[in-house]
Amino acid sequence: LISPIAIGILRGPTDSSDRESMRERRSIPSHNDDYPAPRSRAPQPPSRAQRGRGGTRMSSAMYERMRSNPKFQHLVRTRSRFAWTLAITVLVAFYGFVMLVAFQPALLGRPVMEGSALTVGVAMGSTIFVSFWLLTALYIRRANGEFDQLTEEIIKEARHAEHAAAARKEVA
Amino acid sequence: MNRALVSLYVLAAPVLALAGGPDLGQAEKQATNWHAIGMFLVFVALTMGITYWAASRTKSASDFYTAGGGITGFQNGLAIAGDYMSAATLLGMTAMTYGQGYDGYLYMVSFFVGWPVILFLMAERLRNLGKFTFADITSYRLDQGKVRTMAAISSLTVVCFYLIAQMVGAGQLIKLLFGLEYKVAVIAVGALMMVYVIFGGMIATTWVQIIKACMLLVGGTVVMLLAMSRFGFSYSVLIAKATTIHKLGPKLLAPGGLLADPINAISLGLGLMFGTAGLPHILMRFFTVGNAKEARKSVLVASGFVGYFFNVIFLMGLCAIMIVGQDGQFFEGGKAGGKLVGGGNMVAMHLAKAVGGNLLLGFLAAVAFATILAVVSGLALAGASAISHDLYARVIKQGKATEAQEMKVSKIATLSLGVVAIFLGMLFEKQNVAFMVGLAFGIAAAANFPVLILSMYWKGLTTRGALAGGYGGLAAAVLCVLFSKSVWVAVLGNPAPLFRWDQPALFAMPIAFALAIVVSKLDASARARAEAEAFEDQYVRAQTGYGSAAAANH
Repeated sequence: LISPIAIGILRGPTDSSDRESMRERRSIPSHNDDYPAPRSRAPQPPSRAQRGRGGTRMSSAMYERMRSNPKFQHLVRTRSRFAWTLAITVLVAFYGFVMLVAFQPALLGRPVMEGSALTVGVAMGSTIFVSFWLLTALYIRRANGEFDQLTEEIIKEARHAEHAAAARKEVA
Repeated sequence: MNRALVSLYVLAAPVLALAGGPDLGQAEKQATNWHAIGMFLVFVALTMGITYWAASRTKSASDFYTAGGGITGFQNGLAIAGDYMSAATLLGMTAMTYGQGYDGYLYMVSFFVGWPVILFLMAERLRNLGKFTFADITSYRLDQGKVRTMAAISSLTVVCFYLIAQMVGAGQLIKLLFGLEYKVAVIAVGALMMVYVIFGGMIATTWVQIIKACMLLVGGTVVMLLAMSRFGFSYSVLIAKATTIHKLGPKLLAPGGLLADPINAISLGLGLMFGTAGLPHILMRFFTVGNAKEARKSVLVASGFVGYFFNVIFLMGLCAIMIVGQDGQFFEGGKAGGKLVGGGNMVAMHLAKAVGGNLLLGFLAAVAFATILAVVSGLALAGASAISHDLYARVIKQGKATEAQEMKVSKIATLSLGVVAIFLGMLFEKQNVAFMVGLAFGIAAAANFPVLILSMYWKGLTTRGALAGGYGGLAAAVLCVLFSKSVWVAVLGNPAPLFRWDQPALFAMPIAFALAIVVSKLDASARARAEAEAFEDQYVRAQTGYGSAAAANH
C-alpha cells in the first residue's frame, strides 16, 4: 500500500524543480498546481483559491521542514543582511548625490583637479555607473554561489526527510 | 535653444525616455528616406522569420506568456536592456545632453540606479513566487478574485497610457525619419505588434527585443566612435571645444535648472526607481528565465548594457554640440544656431548623418522604429496576460479554464489591444502625450509597487489592506498627475496647477503604503489571520524557490 503522502511525492504537483516530473506533466492543464494554498492549520479557508488543490498539505510539510532547518535560518539571515546592506549603500549614495545636485550644483561643475577636463559631477556620475554595476556583480557572485548552494542543500535535506517519513509510514 | 528642449520643463517628459515613449512633439514630415525604409524592412523580415519559428514553439500558455521559462539569463538581460533603452532614450537623451549638457547625464544616472535595488530586494522573490504576471505574487495568499482584479486594472491602466505614448511617438517618429504618413505608421506598428504577439508570444517578443537591443548598441557605438574620432578620441579635447562653443559655457557640465527643486528631484528619483519595479512588462521579464540564478544574471547583463549605452549617449550628445551644432546643413535656413531641421529630438540622427552619411542615418532611423515596435509588443503581451491570465482564467473562470481557452482569450485580448492602440494613436495625434508616461510611471510606482513589495516582505498584509493600498495608490497617482502642470494647465487650460510638482511618486507612494498598512492592521477578520499564517509557506518559497515554476524543455 502506498500512503497518501507517498502519492503526494510521486505526483509532486508543487515540486516542479524536478525536471523529469515536469516533462511528464507538461501536457496536463494544471494552473493551480503551482500555487499552494495557505497552510491547512489556518482557522478558515481564506478564499475559493484554496479549494480543490491536491498536494497542498504535502508542500506545506516540505516548507515546514525547510523552515525548521537551521541552514534556512542561516541563509535568510545572511542573505537579507547582505542584500539590505547593498541596497542601503546604493540608496544612500544615490540620494546623497541627488542632494548634492539640489543644494551644491556649483560644486559638481568644478574640475576634479586644476586644469582637468573631468568635472566632479561627471566623475561622480560615472563612478555611480561603474560601482553600482560592480555591487550588482558582487551580489550575484555570492547569491549564485554560496546562497544557491545552501538553498539546494536545504531543499535536498527536506526531500530526504520527506522520503524517509514516507518510507516509515509505508513500513508501518 | 530649440523648442523641444524648452518643452522639457515638464520633468515627466524625460521620464518617458526610460521605457520608450518619445514626446517628439509635432514632428514635421521629412523627405522619404529609402535607406531607412529598406533597413527597417530587413528588420521586419528578420523578425517575421523569428515569429514563424517562435510560433512553432509556442504551444502552452507558459510558452506564450513566458517563453516557457526557457530564455537564458544573458538573453533576458539583453531583452530587458532593450525594454529600457528606447527610441526616446536614444533621441531624447542625446538631445538633452546636446542642449543642457550635464542634466542629460543626471537623468541617465537616475534611470540606471533602479536596477541594483530591484536586484537586491526583488528579483529573486519575483522569480520564485511568480508564474506569468506579477498579480500571481500579490494574490499568492490573498483573495484571488479581488486582488487579481485590482492588479489587472492597474496593469491595464499603465499599459494603455504607455501604448498611447508609444503609438503617438511612433507616428511622429516615422514622419520625422521615414517621411511617411502618421496614420500609416500607427497602423503599421499596431499590425506588426499583433503579428509578433499573437503568433510568437513571449518567444518572438523577446527575440525582437534582443535583436533590437543589439542593433541599438551597435548603432550607438558606431556613431559615438566615428564622432569621437573627430576629437582624436580625447575627452579633454572634446570638453575644451564644447564648453567654448556651447552657450552654457563652463556651466555645460554643472547641473542646470531641471533638478533644482529638491522635492522634484527626490520625487523623480523615487518615481524612476520604483516605477520601473512596478511596470508589468518589465516585471514579466523575470518569469521568462528558468530560475532565480538566471533572473539575477539577467539583471547584471541588462544593467551593464544600459549603463554602457547611457555613457555612449552622453558622449554622442557632447560630440553633437561640435559636429551638429556648428554645421549649417542641419539647421533651418542653412545657418548654424537656429532651429534644428526636424526638431530638437533629431540631434542623434543629424549626428549619424554627419559622421556616417545617409547609410548610418538610415540604420539609426530603422533602429529607432524597431525600438518602438519592440516596446509596444512587450506592452501588448503584458496587457493581454492581465486580461487572459488574471481576469479571465483566475477571476471569471476561477482557475477552471483550460490552457487552450486561456491562450485563445489572450490572443483575442492582444488583437483587441492592438485595435485599441491604433485607435488611441489616431485619437491623440495632436496631443502632447508626455504626461501619460509620467502617469504610467506614477501608477506603477504607487499602485503596483507598494502592494507588490509588501506582499513579499510583510506578513501582515491582508486582502483588504492590499485593495486599499492598490486602489488608493492608483487614485492618488491619477489625481496628482491630473492636478499637475502638464494636465491641469497644459491640457485643461487652468491658470495654475493644484499640485505643483511633476512627479507624483513622493506623495502617492506613501499614501499607498500607509493605506495598505493601516487597513491591514485594522483587519481583524478570520481571513486576515489565515492570510498571515499563509505567509510562512510563501516566505520559504520566496527564499528557496521550492515549488516555483521551472523551465520548460526548450
